[in-house]
Amino acid sequence: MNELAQVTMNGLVEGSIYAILALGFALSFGVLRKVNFAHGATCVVGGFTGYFLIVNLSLPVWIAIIGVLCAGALLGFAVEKVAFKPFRQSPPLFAIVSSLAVAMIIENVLAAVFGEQTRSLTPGIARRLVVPFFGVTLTTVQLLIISVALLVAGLMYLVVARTDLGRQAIAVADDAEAAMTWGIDGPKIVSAAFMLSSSVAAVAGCLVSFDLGIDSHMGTGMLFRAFTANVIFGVGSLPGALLGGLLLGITENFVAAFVSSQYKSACTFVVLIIVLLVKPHGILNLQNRRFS
Amino acid sequence: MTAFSKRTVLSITTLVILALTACSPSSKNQILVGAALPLTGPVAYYGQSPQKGMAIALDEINASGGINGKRLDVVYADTFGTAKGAVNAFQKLADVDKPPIIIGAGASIETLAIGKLANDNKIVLLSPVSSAAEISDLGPFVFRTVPSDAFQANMLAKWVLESGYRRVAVMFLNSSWSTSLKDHFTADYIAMGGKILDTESAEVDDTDFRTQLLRTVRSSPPAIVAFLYAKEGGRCLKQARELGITLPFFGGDPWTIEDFRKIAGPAAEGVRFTTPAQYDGTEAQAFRKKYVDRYGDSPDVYAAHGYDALKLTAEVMRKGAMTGPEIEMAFRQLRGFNGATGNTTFDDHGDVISKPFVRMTIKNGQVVPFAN
Repeated sequence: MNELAQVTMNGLVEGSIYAILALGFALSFGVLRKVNFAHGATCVVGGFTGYFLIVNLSLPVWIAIIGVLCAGALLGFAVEKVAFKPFRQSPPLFAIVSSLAVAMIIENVLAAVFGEQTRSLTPGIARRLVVPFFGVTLTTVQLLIISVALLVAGLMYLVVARTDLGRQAIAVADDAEAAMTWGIDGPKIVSAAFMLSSSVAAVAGCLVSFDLGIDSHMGTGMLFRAFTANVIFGVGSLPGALLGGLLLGITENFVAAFVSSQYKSACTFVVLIIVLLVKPHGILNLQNRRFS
Repeated sequence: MTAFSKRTVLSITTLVILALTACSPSSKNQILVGAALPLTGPVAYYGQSPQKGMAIALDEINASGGINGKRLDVVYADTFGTAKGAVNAFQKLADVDKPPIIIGAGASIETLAIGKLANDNKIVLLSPVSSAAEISDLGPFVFRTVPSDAFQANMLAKWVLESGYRRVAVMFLNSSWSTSLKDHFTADYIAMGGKILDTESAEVDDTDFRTQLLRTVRSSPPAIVAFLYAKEGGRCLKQARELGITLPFFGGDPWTIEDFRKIAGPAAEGVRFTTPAQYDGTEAQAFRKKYVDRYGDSPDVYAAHGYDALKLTAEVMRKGAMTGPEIEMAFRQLRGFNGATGNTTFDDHGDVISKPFVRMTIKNGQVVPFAN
């Protein structure tokens, strides 16, 4: 086993989860310019929905995935209506507090319903694949995670770049008022963006529960990673979110492997602070390029 | 102010006064005991398990006449598994309910945070869970029914050496329990002639241990000693086996919790860990039967400790120790109280000296005593 290659692979797997979350985050931030603090909690809801459908109702995995997507979309719809819509004209702080409140409610309801234990969709040892290059080890679930990250990134890019909905979203992101004078239904676009963003977060949660197991308190850590991944290359950019997520995962694992495992979580804070201090618009200043 | 609004104000004031008196500290026919435990949050099992045991104890105590004819009641306050939560819970209990004794806290970091407050307020603190060695030095009002990790670390060091591993790698979490156990283990193991090849840490609630595992195997240790809680330990074991690491693992008492086996699944097979002895005397069997009848599953060691903590309290209260200082004195004089966790006798530090740790392993998904 080549250690450098294995650490990179571990980083890619963790980074893929961050990337999926960051992509969803970029979408909702892009159209509204407001941070959805319930994004991490939505991810956890996805994990528990997958667990409930597969373990408690014994449904096949593909139906469960559809269920997870729907649950995420529904939650996204509700979060936007409850935590963002009433505060459209208020200072950004209002939406921060209201979405944070929603996140806390979700976390505590999950803890009350499912208990405090960790739920794992695949307890025990997942099937191990040895990749021919450098003898790197990867489980089937991890391969799935990386593939889903690339798939989600590709699909979101297609939706934004090639569909009417996407073009309208870009218009709303650029200037909501101007877009509305052109007949674009601004509130509908914002709603749609939140539904898509949250269903993507829910899928990330489901993948986490396959690989690592999920518990009701994981949301905050997830939100923080999604935010940092976004900040690295500029908040609101889709390619930036994908690259940022992967880079963050790899950085965390390299720091843990070659500096000290004690600094693994701390390095995320360090990255965030450095980028905000030195390049507040992100390393590549992708922020103003909206979704592109 | 009109007559009507005056009347309104008066009625509201009356209602408020009535409400306040309704929740005032113990009334004449009731005696209150506080409980500061992590009932929610990442280490909620350290609170929920003792709570279940305490509920059984409470029913038994009140069915057999309460405390000399008065009804015993327990007021719970959630500590959330954090130092701050524990301080808030303690202060709420101390200010509002004013019990002479508080059963708690759960995680060692909580007990370490409120030990001084217990001494300052002259309220006895009796923990059914916290095992960090540093708790021994918190002061006269702090007691616990679980043995100190200083004993556990020593026993684990001996066991690792007896198993033929003179060199090991160590993994631990940044929590008071884990770092304390790691420090004591390291000191004892080196003093007994062992060598630590590598030490890796992670955060409580971490999910991915793969890179730490890669680092530990870099030093080619013949075995890994991992002071991880149930959740983190389960994930770590699963990931180790998925990475193809087949080294033997040693761990501490949280691995007795079901969560560990649930997450690790077959990866938990054969791990070795120490845990406070599950006493099997008549009291323990009676407790187990009641627990199974009430909750449908078998109790873990912390449920039994919660049960014993409340029974111990009732025992000294029935003999007339009703204030904090009186209970403190009574605990010091207590000799050989038999409960669901065996014999409890406290030393000068409030530690139990009468309960051993035992060697356990996991076989076919069950926690069983380790046989050589």
